[in-house]
Amino acid sequence: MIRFILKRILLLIPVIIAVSFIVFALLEVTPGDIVDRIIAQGGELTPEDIVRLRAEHNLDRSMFFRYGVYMSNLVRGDLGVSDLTGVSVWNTFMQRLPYTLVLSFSALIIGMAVAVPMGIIAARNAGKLADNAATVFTLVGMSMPVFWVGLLLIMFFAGRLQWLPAATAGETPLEFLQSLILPAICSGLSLTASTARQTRSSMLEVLKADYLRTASAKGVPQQTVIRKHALGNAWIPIITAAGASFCAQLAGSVVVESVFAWPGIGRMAAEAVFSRDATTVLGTIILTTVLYVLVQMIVDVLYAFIDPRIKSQYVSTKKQRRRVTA
Amino acid sequence: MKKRMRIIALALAIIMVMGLIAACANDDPAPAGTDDPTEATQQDDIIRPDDDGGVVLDELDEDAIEGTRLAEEVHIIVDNNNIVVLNPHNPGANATSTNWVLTMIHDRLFDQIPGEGFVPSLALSYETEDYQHFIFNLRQGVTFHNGDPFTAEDVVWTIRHAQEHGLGSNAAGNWSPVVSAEVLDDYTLEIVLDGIDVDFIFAITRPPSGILSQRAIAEDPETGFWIGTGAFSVEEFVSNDFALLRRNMNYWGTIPVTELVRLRFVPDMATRTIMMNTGAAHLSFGTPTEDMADFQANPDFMILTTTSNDPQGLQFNLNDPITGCYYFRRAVVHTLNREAIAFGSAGDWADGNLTDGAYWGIGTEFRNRDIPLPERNLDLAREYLERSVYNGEEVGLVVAIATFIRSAGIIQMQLEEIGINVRIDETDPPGLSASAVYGGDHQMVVFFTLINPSAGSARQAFIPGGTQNRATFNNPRVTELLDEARRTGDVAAREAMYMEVQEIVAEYQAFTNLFWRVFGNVAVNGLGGIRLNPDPSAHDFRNIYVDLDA
Repeated sequence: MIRFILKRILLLIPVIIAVSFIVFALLEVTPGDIVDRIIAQGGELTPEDIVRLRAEHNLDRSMFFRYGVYMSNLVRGDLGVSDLTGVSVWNTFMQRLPYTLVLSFSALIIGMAVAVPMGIIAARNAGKLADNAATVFTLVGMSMPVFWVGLLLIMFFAGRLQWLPAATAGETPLEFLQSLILPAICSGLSLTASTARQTRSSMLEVLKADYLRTASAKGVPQQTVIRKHALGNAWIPIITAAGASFCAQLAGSVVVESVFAWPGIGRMAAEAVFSRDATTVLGTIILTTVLYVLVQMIVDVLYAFIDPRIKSQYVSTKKQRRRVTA
Repeated sequence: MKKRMRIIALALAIIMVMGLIAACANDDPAPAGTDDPTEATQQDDIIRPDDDGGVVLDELDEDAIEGTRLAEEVHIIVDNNNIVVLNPHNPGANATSTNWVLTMIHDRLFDQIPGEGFVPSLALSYETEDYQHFIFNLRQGVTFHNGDPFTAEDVVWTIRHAQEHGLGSNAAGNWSPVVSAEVLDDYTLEIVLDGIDVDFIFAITRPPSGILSQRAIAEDPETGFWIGTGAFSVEEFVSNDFALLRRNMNYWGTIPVTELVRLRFVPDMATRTIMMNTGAAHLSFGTPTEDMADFQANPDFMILTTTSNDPQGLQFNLNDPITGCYYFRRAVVHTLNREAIAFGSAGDWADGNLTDGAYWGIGTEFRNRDIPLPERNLDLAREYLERSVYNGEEVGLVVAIATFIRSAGIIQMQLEEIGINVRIDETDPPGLSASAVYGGDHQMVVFFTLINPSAGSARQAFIPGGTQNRATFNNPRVTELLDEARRTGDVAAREAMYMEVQEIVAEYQAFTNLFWRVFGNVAVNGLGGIRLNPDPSAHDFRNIYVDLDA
């Protein structure tokens, strides 16, 4: 298992190199840079100032030179400072990360709490009203744009009913929880939809299995059959789908964060792109990539706990031999 | 299976229709006597800009404070110009809304108030004989938020710090003419400029020119910049999210009536509207134009309008073979129907009533109102086009923000009438700067030009290499006049120079005005004590309050 984890961590290196280079190249071809942003915002610069400022940001050097400087700093654990504000990218990221993590976890909890029972009910009642209703729900959940759902939620719960705040993360714990509800539901909806569909199809496959028929024939209560035998074997694809959705929430929650004025990393990355703040864009994307890979690794490790067959693959050959000898 | 799909499709259709109905529904009944919401809009009062283009809501009288139930915290929503940093010597602080916070936390030597001129702040007076050597007499007994006394040393340190560490910031630009700053005593200061500069005092009234505390910054290089002598101190600041300010009870001037002011960045326009409707905020900037009618019709709100000082117009790259051709530019300007462009771009939130053809800030000093506006005359336009180098090629028009994207579409259609093919290149403001300032690979641009109330600020638009000069305009006489005007103390002589500059610029038609942008800002009834200026950077909320019983 440790070897597996180490291997995954080592894999991060080429991933980070590839991701950072692609992002660097994309920023390079995007018209405008940090100096253009300063000018666009009314910066009163002389032509000499512009030359100095461009030199200060190495914009008078080639892309490869700048990429090399960035990577050499990165190797030393230095993500640099924002081109615009001069504030440490790491500090800003860490200030924003808890907001995104809380939102993503909340969405995951909501998603799993609704999706798994819904998927099971739909599978057990395949072709019936409950299944059709679940299908409609999941289709709507997956096809409705997140920003639109967000606005409808705000209009209804904050505007009409005035039960919850319209936007922004509250300051006291109670206010924070209240302000978390709508963005978490909004983020959780698409996660619910995809996970429910995955649960339904996994369960449908498992429910047809011979061992379930045998268990039922032997008089095992239906609840136990579903909970222990069926769901136990259907977890892998469900966790895969939920893990992928969670990663997508971490990396792409910019829309939800914008609609709800939630100060997370998605908004941080988007604002940095609009500001042409290349150092912040790169830092945010690299750290998000690390998070993404770590979450995927946790999902892989979870497989081992759920499925003994997978766990056995992680056990070293020596240990396996020892077991055989014993 | 087919039946099931039909049921799903029907259910989806019903949900979508219900969603649309819910989204479009409006509980607010139209005022009595009208069924037409636009008619209702016309009937309601909105607070129009004064002659200077701004709006002033009076401060609360000292006598009235006792009997008024005031909001403890006033919440202001800021739009796209979010607050990223509170260090005025950082380019990130050039954003409009950052300037609002800077005005509240850092005092400058003087304030500039439209109609009142320069008002003493940390400096009580200045003396100069030649606009190059200045003696400032500073206010005594002022303390910074951390309790340190304010002295002339702080001014000198602020100037040096801005010059040495503020590259790209407006503060550095404002203090750049200073070649020497010397402390004569704790409250007297001598400043010498690199030459005569009659605009210097105006420059140092701008929000980023606030005086900082050297000791506070030495103690904490990040939050030390938040320490000023201003009417408010920073209680909490989260970059790109919000700034919470607490009133300074030791303020040397009028102590604010409101305990806390929160300026929060809300990126989504629709969310801003809902926050205002639910009472989560008291004043909102960047309200969607389409929601204005609802706010106008709602008696709980008022609309505060300001006319932007900045000319919103079309600019031609003079270095391009086609747009550099005088006859081509003439053909274009005589084809434009400005009223249609104004209305199509921003509806009621644009003022298409241009009375003259000067490309100058609407409230900027020495505006030349005798320059004729090029009239729409298609026959004349065709005649000019015949004489131009234009041969039916596609001409690029660069645009960056929504209002101008709409303008560009209308311009494209209008120019088609005389046979000019326009290609619209959409980008964002940094992208536009890249292609249209020193990139120079553009042909035409629709954008605004930042010009503040001081005529000297027009330099950036008309001198070679100026950051607002998207026309690559380069006229030696104009450059000479602008330089000379900066060095001329005599007001009549300066006026004559600026008038001539505008005449020359108008003759070239490198720039042409399209309309004046009107900003509608939504406020709850009972809000007062604010000053909204045509130059949005100079908005002042130091005396803001909300009367909860209004």
